[in-house]
Amino acid sequence: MSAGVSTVCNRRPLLVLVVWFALLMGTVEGLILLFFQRINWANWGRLIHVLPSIVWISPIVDGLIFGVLAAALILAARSRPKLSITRAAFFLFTMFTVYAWAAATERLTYWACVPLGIGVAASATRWFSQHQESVLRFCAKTLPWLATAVFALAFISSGRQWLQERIAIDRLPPAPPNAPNVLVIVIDTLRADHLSSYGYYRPTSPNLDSLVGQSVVFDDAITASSWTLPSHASMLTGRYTFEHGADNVKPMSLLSNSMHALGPRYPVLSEALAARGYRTAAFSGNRIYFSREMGFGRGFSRFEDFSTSDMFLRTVLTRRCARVFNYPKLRRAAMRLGFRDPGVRKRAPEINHSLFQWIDGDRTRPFFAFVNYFDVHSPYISETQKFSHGKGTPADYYDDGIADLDTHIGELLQELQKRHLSQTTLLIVTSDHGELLGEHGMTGHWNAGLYRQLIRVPLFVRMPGVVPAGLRIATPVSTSDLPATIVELLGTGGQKPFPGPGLTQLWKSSTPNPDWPYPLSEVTDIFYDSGQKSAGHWEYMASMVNSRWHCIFHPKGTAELFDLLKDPEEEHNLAASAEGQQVVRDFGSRVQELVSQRHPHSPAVPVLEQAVAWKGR
Amino acid sequence: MRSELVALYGGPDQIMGLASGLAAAVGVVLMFWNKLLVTVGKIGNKLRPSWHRGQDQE
Repeated sequence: MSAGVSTVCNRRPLLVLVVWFALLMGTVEGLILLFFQRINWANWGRLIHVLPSIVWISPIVDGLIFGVLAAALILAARSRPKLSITRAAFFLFTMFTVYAWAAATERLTYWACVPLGIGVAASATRWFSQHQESVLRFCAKTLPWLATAVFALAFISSGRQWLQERIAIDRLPPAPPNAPNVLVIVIDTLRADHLSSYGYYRPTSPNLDSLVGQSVVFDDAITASSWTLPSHASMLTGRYTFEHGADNVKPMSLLSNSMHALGPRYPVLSEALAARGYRTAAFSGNRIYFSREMGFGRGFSRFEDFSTSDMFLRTVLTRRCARVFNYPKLRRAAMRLGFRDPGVRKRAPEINHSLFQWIDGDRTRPFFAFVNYFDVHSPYISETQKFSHGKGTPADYYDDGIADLDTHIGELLQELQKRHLSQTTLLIVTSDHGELLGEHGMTGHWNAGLYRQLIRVPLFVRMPGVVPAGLRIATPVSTSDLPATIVELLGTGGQKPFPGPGLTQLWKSSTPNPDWPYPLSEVTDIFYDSGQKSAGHWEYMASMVNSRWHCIFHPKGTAELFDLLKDPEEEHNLAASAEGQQVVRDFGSRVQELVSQRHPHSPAVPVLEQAVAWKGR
Repeated sequence: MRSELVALYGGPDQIMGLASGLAAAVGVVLMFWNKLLVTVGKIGNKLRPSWHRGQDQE
């Protein structure tokens, strides 16, 4: 038999093997990823982040890969007639299957999975050589059952979410007539002092700056924490970290789908607005810490963090290919070829598209949309490189990201205008925390403390006809007051589901309010990054800000105090001075007063009180 | 939860190195399993005659 005829004869069994292995490997791989994702939250292992749709997407991806391999074997057989395509395919498919299953557990190094895969494939192929016909018959016979199982899993995983959303919307009560929409935009990692409207020397944000003349601008908005998870929790619950307790990632239950950071103790803004008949949705770019799995899905009828299309890059094999983006030279080469960095980064254009697709889906009800843009977050990857030009300082790259995102925020504002939603939407733009760019000898924001560059963020509030335009407020405020503010602006008939003063009081009064509570910020060690520390042993920091002073309480009763009027960069610690000691004690008392007013039974309280027990050093 | 993990396969990341080494060794053994069996058989055959020889001399 000629090589060409032999190749033709081998194609049908080859096709059966491609599909059979793709279905088996992909489905089991998806189940392993889902299962071990839960285990990996429990103190060790790498994050995986997959949705249930991985169980049907993985077979598709693997099928494509195996199809390419099969085509390569057919081509190779033309120059090597003695090559048994079927046996070679069986070897390769078995090798990749064992590799993927072993690697998906995240319990073996990837390099160890290679010899394991090759060894198992070699043994299996020796056995296959002696039982080839019966194995191929078995594969052909079981193929329809495998395909049916995968289709069923696809229907269950993707259909379930759609159905849940429909049910949630059908259960909404009627909304008040002419109720305004609410759009909250959180720009992850954006510090206020890098926006032109906050005095920065570079024109990083012309579109955001255009909001100045249309909004109330808060010059000193302080976040409740210096990283995403607790900060978002505070923005949705109106509570500080010592109350809501979402200070870190919590172990995921093996069987249930319960919340894993933000617990059900306090109501969230999404629930309050859904109870008023609002359609609610969140669109997250920070899909590690602002996600449904972290407990933020409560009250949102739709929560888009990881999308189905993301799962195409979350299988074991495609994730290995995506590692090219970890190497700067390879990343630049890939980006020149048109690839954008995959993985956790979801960019503003995609978020805007999803947001408006959802808004346009139902215009019969008012909507509440909560958007997190991740574009400014590190690694600082910019398409335009407006300020760095490809070779700058971290601050240059950071500004690049702001400029890029600002363009897309401009597009969002235009889309709102096009749909005649600008006049009927309460728009709030803020950030969850800032970023250190070399100040205090540190970069980033993880475990970097509570310096001003980390907790001072922009805050714009726009609602034409209701919120005054062009007003700037200097009083330091907390972003945890946003829920109370939104509910006040919407009017709740006297109900106050959220604590804290609504910020409306500040613009309704013509004089500054000297009794306005000082914003509190808190941070604990990040569980995932500091995997060596066990639960119960975490270092706690708290800080409080007023118009002049910023006091940071460190563990074991030490403190830093900065005079913001004379030292806005917080470079000179005045805690040891006579005046400073008095100020620190005063701030400590205020923290304790706040704690006693809000929630004196929180388990975090004793640690907070210890932290603020100033020892006069 | 920790005890469940230890029962399933648990422990700190240090065990990952050990498990990976074992997995790689298993893979190598499986690659050359046939040759390994043949080699072990040959060694066994060589040893058996010399042992029998020792018994005859006694």
